[in-house]
Amino acid sequence: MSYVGIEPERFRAAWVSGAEGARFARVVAELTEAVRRVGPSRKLGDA
Amino acid sequence: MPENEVTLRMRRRAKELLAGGEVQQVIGWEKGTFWYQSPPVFIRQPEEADRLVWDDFCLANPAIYLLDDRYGQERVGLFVKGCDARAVVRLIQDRQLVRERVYLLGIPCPGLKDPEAARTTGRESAQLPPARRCQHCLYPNPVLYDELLAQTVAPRPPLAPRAAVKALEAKGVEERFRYWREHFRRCLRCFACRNVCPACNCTACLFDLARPTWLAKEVDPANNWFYGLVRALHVAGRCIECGECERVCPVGLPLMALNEKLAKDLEELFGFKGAGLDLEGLPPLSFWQPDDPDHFA
Repeated sequence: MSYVGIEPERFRAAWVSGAEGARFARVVAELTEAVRRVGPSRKLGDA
Repeated sequence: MPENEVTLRMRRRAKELLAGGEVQQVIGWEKGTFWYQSPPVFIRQPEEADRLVWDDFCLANPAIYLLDDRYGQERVGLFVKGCDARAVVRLIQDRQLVRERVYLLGIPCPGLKDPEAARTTGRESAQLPPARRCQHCLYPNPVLYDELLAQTVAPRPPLAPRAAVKALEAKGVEERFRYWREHFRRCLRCFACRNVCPACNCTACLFDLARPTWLAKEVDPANNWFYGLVRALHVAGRCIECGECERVCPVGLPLMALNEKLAKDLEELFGFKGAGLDLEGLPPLSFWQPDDPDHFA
């Protein structure tokens, strides 16, 4: 996605087991924070 | 122009195969409207075999026409260049074709010429640049064949392999975005790239589905992006880099810069040398191994 110009901050691949609730929460919180910093994406809209 | 030796052999073998009932149809190339065009030709009668031709513009990949009769019983004689033979291997691997249904007449390919340059400059064949796909071809000899119509050729040293990908990777994210946005804006969604692609051999395509509507009918930048990117990912590891998508694109989108990027990633991650090189070598994304790369956070 970065190759076609979408900010790499918007993507994350993480391995989280079904038993790792706390880890899942942390991964999602970190990703949300990272996406919030780059702001809303207009790139794939109709612009 | 006197007919070259390969052309004469093509005609002779086509006649023999058809007359002897070994094949019911032969697919090759014939001369088109202009001297720089050699579109595919489908021959059923031995006396029509003299239409066949081999020259600098036999770019079309005849293997994709096998899909039009993928459930049929007829045996087809198919002329294949290096890239075309890889397409046949892919179709067999994807269970779209039974090996016995094709008789492959291999043509070691000296590299073809750019028909677009012929059209715009009017220069004769010998003065034309090689076709884009041929500039970094590593497999000019058919990888699968029943007979060869000429001596094998040594691959030419590739000119600037993956130059377009490297140039794009060196740019910043924003610049890359502008590059692709400006190109995908121009996409007409004619689906020529999909229809010509030997990797796009699914009987039902998600882009045609009405329910669910993965791809909206509007031709707008957002849907064009979706189409272009999803198609590139769907053929990742199955693309033989024949460059047919880019050749047939009526608006000249640099589609191979996407396909080559994915091929480059697969080579770096899995050591994958390319799709359709032999019948045993499956695409890395179609099976799992314990030592597959696993770069998760």
